Amino acid sequence: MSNAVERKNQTDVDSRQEGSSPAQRRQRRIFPAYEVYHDKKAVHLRVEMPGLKRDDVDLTVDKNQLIISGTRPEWSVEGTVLLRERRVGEYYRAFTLDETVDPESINATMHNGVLEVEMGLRKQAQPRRIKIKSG
Amino acid sequence: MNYRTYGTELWPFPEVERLRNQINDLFDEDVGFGSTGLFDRSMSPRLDVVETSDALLVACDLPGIDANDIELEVVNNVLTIRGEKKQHHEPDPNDGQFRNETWHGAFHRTLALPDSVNPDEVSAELKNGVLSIQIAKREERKPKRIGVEVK
Repeated sequence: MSNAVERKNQTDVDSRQEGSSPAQRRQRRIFPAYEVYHDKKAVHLRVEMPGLKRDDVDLTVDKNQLIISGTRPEWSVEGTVLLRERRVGEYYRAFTLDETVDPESINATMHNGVLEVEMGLRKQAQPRRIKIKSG
Repeated sequence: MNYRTYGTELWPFPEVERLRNQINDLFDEDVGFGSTGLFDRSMSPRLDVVETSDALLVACDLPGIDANDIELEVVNNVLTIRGEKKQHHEPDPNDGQFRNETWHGAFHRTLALPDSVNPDEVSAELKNGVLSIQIAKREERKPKRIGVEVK
């Protein structure tokens, strides 16, 4: 019973936060496009967040969650807006790291509006060549 | 549809609302471009255009693109932004690609300029993956303040 009430409150909060007017929708969360690939040593993640400087991006690792967020402010110029297609609001994307990634060896750089995260693989997860002894 | 009872009420609407929000969220994926038409092969980056009293400002999202790969021209009062977004790395068959939502290839966007601008005075800057273009207005088309003398 109390569980159900809690659930109703939760749902109400959800629906309040997510506005549906065009202005509110433009301000909503943006899920930036990303690319993930790996080589022998590391997993590489590239997230496209145009308009953000290095200091605007927040990268946190909490247990096995890698969370990328940042706020893109409205383009503040005095004048008449003729066209507005670019999205503004909160960039947000969360990733789950598996046990092959070493959370201590995560490096990130920002270049041309693209966040590049390099996550080192644990020694055990890196490919290893095994010598075959002759019998 | 899973009807949940809240207290003594039968209240399906929060569920319906959540479903609607989830569908809306599909459109929040930031692909950052659109196709310019049904048969166009090139991508069309998003633009913002603002007219101020002395210039027309254009901002265009071009993340991960070098300034050398962007071509900008004004012909017959039409601004064209075109270029190529190069693939960041060649996929190595021995390594793996988990997921790629980004795009690469040619992009092309045109914008008809109002005749109040001077196509000879265009400046552009690429910063943090955003191309900012400033096109000055013709001197005679800038708003003028006319003083009224009191006699």
